Amino acid sequence: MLFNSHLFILLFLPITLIGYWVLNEFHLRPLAMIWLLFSSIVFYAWWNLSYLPFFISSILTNYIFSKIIINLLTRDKVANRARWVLGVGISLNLIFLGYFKYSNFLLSTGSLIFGYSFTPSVLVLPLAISFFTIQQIVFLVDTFQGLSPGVSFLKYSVYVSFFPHLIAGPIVLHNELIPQLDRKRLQIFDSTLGVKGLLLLSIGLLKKVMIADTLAIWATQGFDGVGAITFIDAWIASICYSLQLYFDFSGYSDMAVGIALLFNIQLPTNFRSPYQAVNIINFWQSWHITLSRFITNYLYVPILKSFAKIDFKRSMIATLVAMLIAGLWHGADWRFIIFGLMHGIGLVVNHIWRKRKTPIPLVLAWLLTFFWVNLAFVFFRAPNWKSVERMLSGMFFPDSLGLPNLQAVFMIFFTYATVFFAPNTEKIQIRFQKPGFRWIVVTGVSLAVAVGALEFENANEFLYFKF
Amino acid sequence: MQMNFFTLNSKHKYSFLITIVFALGILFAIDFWIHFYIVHKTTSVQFIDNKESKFIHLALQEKNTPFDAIFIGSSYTKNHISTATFAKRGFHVYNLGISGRLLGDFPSMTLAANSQHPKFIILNISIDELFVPPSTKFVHLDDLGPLLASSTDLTTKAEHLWSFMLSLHSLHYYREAVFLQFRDVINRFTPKIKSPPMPTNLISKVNYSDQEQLGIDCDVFKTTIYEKMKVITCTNGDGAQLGYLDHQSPKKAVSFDARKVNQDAISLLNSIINSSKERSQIIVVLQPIWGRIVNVDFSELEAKINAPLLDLTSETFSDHDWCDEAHFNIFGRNLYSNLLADRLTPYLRHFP
Repeated sequence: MLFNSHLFILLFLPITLIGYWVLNEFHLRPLAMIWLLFSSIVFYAWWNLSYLPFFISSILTNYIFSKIIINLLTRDKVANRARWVLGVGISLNLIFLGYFKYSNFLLSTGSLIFGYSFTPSVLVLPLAISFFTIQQIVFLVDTFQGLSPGVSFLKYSVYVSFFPHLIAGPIVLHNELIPQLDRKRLQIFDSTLGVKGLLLLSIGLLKKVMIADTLAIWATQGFDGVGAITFIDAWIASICYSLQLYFDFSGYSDMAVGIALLFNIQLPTNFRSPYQAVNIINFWQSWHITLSRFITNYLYVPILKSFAKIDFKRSMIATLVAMLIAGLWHGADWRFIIFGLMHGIGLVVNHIWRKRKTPIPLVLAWLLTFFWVNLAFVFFRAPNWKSVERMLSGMFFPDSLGLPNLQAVFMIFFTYATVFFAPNTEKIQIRFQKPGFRWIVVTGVSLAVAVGALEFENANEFLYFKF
Repeated sequence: MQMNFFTLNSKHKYSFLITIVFALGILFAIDFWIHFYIVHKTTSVQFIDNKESKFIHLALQEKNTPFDAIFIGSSYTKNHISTATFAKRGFHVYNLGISGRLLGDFPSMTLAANSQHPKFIILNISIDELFVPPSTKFVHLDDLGPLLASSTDLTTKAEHLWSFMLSLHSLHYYREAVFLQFRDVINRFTPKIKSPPMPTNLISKVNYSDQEQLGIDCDVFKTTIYEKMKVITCTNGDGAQLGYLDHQSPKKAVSFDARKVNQDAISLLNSIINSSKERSQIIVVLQPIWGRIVNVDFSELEAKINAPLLDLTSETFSDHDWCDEAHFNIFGRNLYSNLLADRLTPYLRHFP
């Protein structure tokens, strides 16, 4: 079920909300939680029922592992056995992720190196596996570190499966969501949060259906086309994709945050204004923030700690390795590894530049940052190496200049204007204090327009669903 | 006392509900405006290409002579059938073709046609529609009952019911048209490298402005110009496309097994035929499809349908006769209308 479908907006969400708040209204909290869990499972199973057994067993297994870790930590003075259980738990998660997502990639790469024949098998990748695997690994690590007190299975299941963040994030930490489930004040419907939720939901929907899906037309024409591409078409396609990805994914995140607010639950911000960034460090501080946080805390820091001595050079190596892994997390393909590597290099260069304190004009800094990000997204978006080659030759070694498609140029300018001059959703949330007349009008109009524009032709999937 | 929503003391307590009601109010106002616009724009010599408008247009037609036939179908009907061709043979017909309409839309269209008491109602369908479950993007209230009755499984019934609920919102129906209008405006400013080359290898060398001179047989009230074609809409309900096809038809043979016909589709078609029997006779026409040579046992197919079945799928048209991969141009339209008139004349002449 897509957030931008009539089925979700007009049927699933209202039914889930009404059920949840009616049960809370009658102080039937456990039933309300069970209802939320049931709804999330229906939401997940709607895509493909065959994913469900794996998803449920993953939740169950990780919960059992967390319980064992807590028991061992309580009983043993030294944490060796708990550490061993943690290792097995993380390995199991990674083995399943690796099996579903990376086995074909590893075996085909091996066949290229060692020369054996290999036919890729058709594996059904369980939806959202990358997202719920990360969340559960973090939960296990934090349990071992004593950062997550024991929670009931019901709360843990609701935390992992809570449908607003389930499919494509934001990647929520247990200590951000589980405590909110216990807060008495949050068990009463709050109109202020409700209107704010509707506003974010509408903004997200508008970003997706009005902007991202429109930009997709020219991005697809460029990346999925055949034959030579002109200089202008190649740049239009690459810029359109960079903008499409931002509006698509940040739109999804806004919707997730907005929908969660309808349940009185605050999810972390996932995007600020990444395309206003004037360096790569700045970019990653405002792009997919919850993933950046995971990369920093659970990849970069452990890698750095594994070095005997910590210095600038080693921290840069840790940055490169962490970004390579982050690239691979996005997909099992060398193009994603190059995407990660490019961002790793960008961060390293940025750190060196910062260390040297060499000034650079702001406009040039912005241009360089966007150029590098845009270039990396060519590898990210291209469906195959032929497309990469075609796009790069069009962008840098074109046969012809071509003429601009005015619709695309108009859309790019409009989108850039939005990126630069419209407040991001975090700022909107800060400005939104009380749902007075102005906010009711803004939210009502946005909601009406967003619902009116729903499922234009067919609801398109969000780009990050495949990760 | 435990606190709940009703014991909360906040002056913004009902703001959530007010916002929802406000948003729904906007959507309702848009729907009302659309309805008003359609009624306002429809006269006896002007209509919008949708059910609501075309039904009004039909009702406003001169009633001195009853219709011999009303044609029901999609844009294939609207743009392929010339009312003037039938008029030359002394038949008073009306073209109730509406773009994008499918078999699932026919119950309401037949009902609208029946209200004018024509002698015959001609249902124009593509053969493919008999082999897939009947569907329509926007379910009219009069379509819902027959669609539900003809569906054999619960999921399909639920889908029809859901489509009907969505169809209640008029904006849902019109936003594509609004978007296309907006896109066309921007398109006008897009520089063209060169005008599309006239095909050299096969197709008519006559462009659409020449075609216009050659054979529009109705009064035009609206013309839409696209890059390679011109679509005209006539005051009498007809339409036509002017242009040429710039590539050759593949003439692909496609076989259908008449035994594997979709039961829901046949059931819906027969329910339309049966419900109309007392007022008008129904004839089903299987229309030609570009690039296809259809192989099917028509006698077996005819045996399943409770009305005469005219097969025009096997009629071959040359590439000169097509405007695009779906529609005839003015030449094809003239040929097809004459062909159809030949096949229908025995029925229309010998009506009891």
